[in-house]
Amino acid sequence: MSRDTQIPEWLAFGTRPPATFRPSIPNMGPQTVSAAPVDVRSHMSWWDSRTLPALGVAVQSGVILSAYGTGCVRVPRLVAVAHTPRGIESQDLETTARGHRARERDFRVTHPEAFRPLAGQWVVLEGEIIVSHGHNASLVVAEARSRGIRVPYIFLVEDPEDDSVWIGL
Amino acid sequence: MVHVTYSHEFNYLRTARRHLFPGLTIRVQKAHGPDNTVEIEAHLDSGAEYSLFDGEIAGAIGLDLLSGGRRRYAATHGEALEARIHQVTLVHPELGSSSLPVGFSTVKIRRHLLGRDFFNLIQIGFRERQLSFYVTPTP
Repeated sequence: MSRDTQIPEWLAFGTRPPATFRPSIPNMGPQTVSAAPVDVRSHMSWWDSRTLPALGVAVQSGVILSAYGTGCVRVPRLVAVAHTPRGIESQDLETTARGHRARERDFRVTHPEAFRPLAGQWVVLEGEIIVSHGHNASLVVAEARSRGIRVPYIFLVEDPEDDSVWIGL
Repeated sequence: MVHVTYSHEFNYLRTARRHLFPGLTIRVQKAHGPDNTVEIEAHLDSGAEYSLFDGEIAGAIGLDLLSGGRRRYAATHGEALEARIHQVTLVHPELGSSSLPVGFSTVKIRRHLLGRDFFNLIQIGFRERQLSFYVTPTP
């Protein structure tokens, strides 16, 4: 992030992200969205001159894990429209309540088989594509960035056999 | 009686093991320096005095984990883990952003926690039976 787009320190919650805040979805390629646009949807299409080549690189480099079974991991819908600070305003409450990265979370829940071999690892997921994974989050994120993911969505894959309930710590 | 009006409603998040928990997907980035932002899911934990993220996230956003000041986090069973404090910016696309000193664990933890230091920045209400929570992004 260049200095002029740096989010000021102590900017309070309740303040909208600055105009230079860049929404993350579809999040492929650093120039997909350079600033929150007025017409978000026209800017957020996967049919972006930089996005499609990046997706092609992902396919060629074996990012799409078809080996986990038919239908486990799919290429994202190419015309998917993102949730953005402005786009979200035009959506209904139910969609809003589902929040950010709903697509990735849905995929995690509906396709546990795609993540079972990755238990205990960090995974970067973009849409329905597992972009990178491993035990070192820094390396996993670096690999995702090298593949064109500007803001990696990263999480630790749970052990599916662990049936314990959760407390904070 | 105090009445509070909230501006945002969020559903609890569902995990792969179909647990439901109150949480937010937030961006984490260094308060200063180059943009190495990541997005994580963090649990809203009113039992945590301070927020705590896995230390691996510090490295992922370009922080030197061990350069931060020490803070010990005591768990309910009495054991404490050590974390290093780093100033980071938390960004949520609907709620806004704020800078917060966050503890990053020096050992692996399984969940990132947004504690009462984060709650201090917002107003929040839980409806456990409805599996939803409400937020107004001003304290």
